[in-house]
Amino acid sequence: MDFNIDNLWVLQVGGQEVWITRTILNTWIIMAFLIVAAIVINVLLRNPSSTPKGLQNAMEMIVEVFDGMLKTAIDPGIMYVGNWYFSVFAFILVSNFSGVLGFRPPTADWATTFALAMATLILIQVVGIRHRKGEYIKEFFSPNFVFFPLNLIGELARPISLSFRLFGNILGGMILMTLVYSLAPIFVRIFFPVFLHAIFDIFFGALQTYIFCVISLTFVGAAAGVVSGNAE
Amino acid sequence: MSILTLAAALPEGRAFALDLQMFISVGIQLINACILAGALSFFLYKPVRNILQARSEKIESQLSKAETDMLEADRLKAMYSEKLEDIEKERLAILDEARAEAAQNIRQMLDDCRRDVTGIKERAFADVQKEREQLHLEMAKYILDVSMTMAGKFISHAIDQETQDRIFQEAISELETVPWQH
Repeated sequence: MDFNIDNLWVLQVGGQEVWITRTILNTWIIMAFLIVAAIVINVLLRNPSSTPKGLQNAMEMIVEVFDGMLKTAIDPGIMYVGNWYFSVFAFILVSNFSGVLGFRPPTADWATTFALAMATLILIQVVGIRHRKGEYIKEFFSPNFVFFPLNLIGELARPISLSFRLFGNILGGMILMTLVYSLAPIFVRIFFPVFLHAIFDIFFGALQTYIFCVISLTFVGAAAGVVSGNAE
Repeated sequence: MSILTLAAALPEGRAFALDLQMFISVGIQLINACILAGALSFFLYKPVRNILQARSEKIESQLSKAETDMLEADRLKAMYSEKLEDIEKERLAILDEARAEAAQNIRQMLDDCRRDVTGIKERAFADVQKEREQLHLEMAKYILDVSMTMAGKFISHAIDQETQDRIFQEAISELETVPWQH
């Protein structure tokens, strides 16, 4: 029974040790899977039909559903963030589902979730400054410049809370599954884990992916001053 | 850059820690996420969105064209309806005009006929009058000739030729002054 993240290799980069963890390796595997799948799909969709069917239909449905999710959270004016969130959504979803195959989900490592949350923080600042310029920066000093530290902490708290929500949920599910596999009697381990995988890896995995993306999108939308189709 | 792969050299794994290695992992994951975002965006998301956009633009243009065609059809329909109404009005106007012209022509013809008839009648009356006068004159001449013949036969025995001519002239003069009864 081990919940720890193994270190697989240690690199020396400019005199600094860099640990290559199982999370990073699993991330690369998932990335490779997603990129190869994307390339294959791209090749297969080179000559799209005007009446979609099969793979084209499925991909169009996925993108349309995803765009629909974007539209519920942000204004069409900042739909360009969809490129980023599509890959984040796909990565988190596949990571969460990878638990079914016995992988240690990369999202069960705070480094992954915090990295994604930090990306959200960067995106919030970029979108906020791009759309509202000085007005956005001014918000850090409102209602008075004395509140700047509090506003800054509030801003930094967003990605931290976002990262811990996803990390905690996935790690919790993984711990439960590990406990079941380690401690439950052999006859329980045959069928029972199927339901637990369905709940913790599939259902909660999909749910947490959705929650992470929607909350993150809401932050970005609020920074741009346009949330859920209502321009300020 | 050297890689240490000896198991003994590998640090022990951990579930969570807030140290430099964790933040290095965060950095690596951030780079991984950016690479993945770029790749998925380039190979999958954008192409599929382009397909969808191209289709929706095509459908939009078809709808727009259909709408334009519908408007054009409505406009043509209205124009043809108006033309049909105009044709009906024009037909009625032509008919009214033709009727009025026909009525005018009829009146004109009737007037001409009446005028002609009156003229013919007047000329006929004049001719009749003339013929009657001529007849009376010829009749008078005939009577006079007969009378003269009779009188000549009667008087030839009593008067000479000179007296006879004088009497004849006097009789003619009297006859010219006598008003003829019609």
